[in-house]
Amino acid sequence: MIRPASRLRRFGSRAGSSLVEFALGSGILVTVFVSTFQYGYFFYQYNLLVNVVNNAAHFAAMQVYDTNTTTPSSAWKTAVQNMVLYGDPSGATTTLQVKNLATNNISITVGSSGSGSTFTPTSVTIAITGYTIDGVTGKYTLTGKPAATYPFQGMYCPDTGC
Amino acid sequence: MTVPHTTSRRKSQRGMVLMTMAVTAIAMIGAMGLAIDLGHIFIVKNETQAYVDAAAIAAALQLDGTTAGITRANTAATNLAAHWNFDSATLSSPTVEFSTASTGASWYTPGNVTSALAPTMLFARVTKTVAPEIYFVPVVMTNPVYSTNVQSRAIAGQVDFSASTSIAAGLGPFAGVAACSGTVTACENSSPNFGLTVGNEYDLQWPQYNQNRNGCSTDAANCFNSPPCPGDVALHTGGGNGDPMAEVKSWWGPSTNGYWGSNSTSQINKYILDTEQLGALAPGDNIDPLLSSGNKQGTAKILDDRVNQDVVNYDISGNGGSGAQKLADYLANTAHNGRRLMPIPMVYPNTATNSTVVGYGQFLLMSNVASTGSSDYYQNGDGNVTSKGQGNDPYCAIYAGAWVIGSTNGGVGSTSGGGRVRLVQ
Repeated sequence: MIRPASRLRRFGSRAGSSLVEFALGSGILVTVFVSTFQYGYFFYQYNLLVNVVNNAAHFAAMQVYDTNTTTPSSAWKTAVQNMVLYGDPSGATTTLQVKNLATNNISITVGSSGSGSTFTPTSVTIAITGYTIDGVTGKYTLTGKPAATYPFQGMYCPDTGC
Repeated sequence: MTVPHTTSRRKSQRGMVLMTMAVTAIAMIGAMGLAIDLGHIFIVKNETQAYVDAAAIAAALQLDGTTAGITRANTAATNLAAHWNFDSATLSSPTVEFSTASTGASWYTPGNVTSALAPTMLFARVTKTVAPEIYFVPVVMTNPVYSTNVQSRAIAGQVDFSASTSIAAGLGPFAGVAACSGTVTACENSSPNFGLTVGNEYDLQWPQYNQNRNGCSTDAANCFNSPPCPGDVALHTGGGNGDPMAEVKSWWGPSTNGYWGSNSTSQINKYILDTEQLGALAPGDNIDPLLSSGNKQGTAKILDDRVNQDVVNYDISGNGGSGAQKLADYLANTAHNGRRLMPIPMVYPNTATNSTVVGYGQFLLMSNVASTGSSDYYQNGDGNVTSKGQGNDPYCAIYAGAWVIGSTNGGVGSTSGGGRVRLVQ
């Protein structure tokens, strides 16, 4: 009588403790896995952005710059934005390189020397701003990063529409 | 008997769970380390690679065959702003080295480039090492380290236009006459200067030509109503080889003044100010069908406009300074923006129907002011013998050497006298 009862009790208590252990253990495990995924996903997206920003800034620095102010012409701007979004200045490809990236996330800054008639472009900086990396449990909004600056190495044509 | 046995089994099971937990925790931290630390290192590598890429291009753009160019190249790479570690730390002071080839065996630091070596330095190599911290991997290391070095390196250089590279924009509407003799191939091989001397003044637009002048039939120097520019006069040997003046007389005659493309003022305006071109040109092309008499009156103001688009639209040595002095002063003044430098095709006229493009050259447009104010050199001259600003006078410019797209200085120059900066590694 004693043996079966004690066996049952022992069996019951072990089942309970492994449930508790499972609950605790899986809680920790899930947290660890989710946070690792979260970091990994954030790093992956950030790395993609570093690459697209670098390629687009390199591209922009080689284009003919065709206004005499730090505000680029719309054709120039569109080509550079397409380069960031699709990796294709013509916009013929419309597959986004980075999920949910939009034109209003792209900040283009043209460095220059002189003004008015002596204006010349000297550098191009492309930065990502206001873009949110949306992970499983948290979000992180990038402001002004990643950014890439290239020295201007194209031709300069002050007359819009060259 | 049963009770102690059970107890010992329970104890041993609990110990097992703890041990398993400990072992798995270490394994898990190791795996997290691989995911997070390596991800972090990967991003840092990409950030610094982007930086050295841009810095190498900045450096290569400044190379012009002089030690001053080497100094500028080092400064340009050093001053380029960039960040790493998720944009939180500044990247600065990379190692900048120079060599003759992208695969060069010897790389020279800026201080080791002598004035004898400088004209051969075509490539810049930029290296930057950063040490991102690592957080998880050290846990499973026998001898833990808490940061690891990440090195990024890029090589950029002035890559010559290949023989088939057509230039479709950016060339001025003048054809510079190369001082060549013999075959077109021999002329092409006399690159990058094609017989011209850096710092001398050469004709963009030739002076008015009159074949009825006394002695024109025997000596080309007698055909022009005003003397051509001093550089071309210096090359005049009474005819024959390497004499642009004689070639212009023999093969261009009175109807071609040195222009190519168009004689419309509005078109010439686009050429000179807006980097547009009527057609594409490549070395080996015959420019003869495109040569024109140009438009002297209209062009003067356009050339002056281009000069005045430069912050340094003046020559501190004044009108009396030598061409070489003016060019050196211009390049030494860091405020210059390159607008006074105009690239044009260099041609070798060697038959009545053939003037072959042999390469490219860059010319410093002239100014007649010594400090402030607007230059009107091409409209009114500077009172010197070669440029009084009269209808018969030529338009001269100072030969500045090879052309590199996007550079505000000259280039080092190799086989075509023209090139562009490329990232080669």
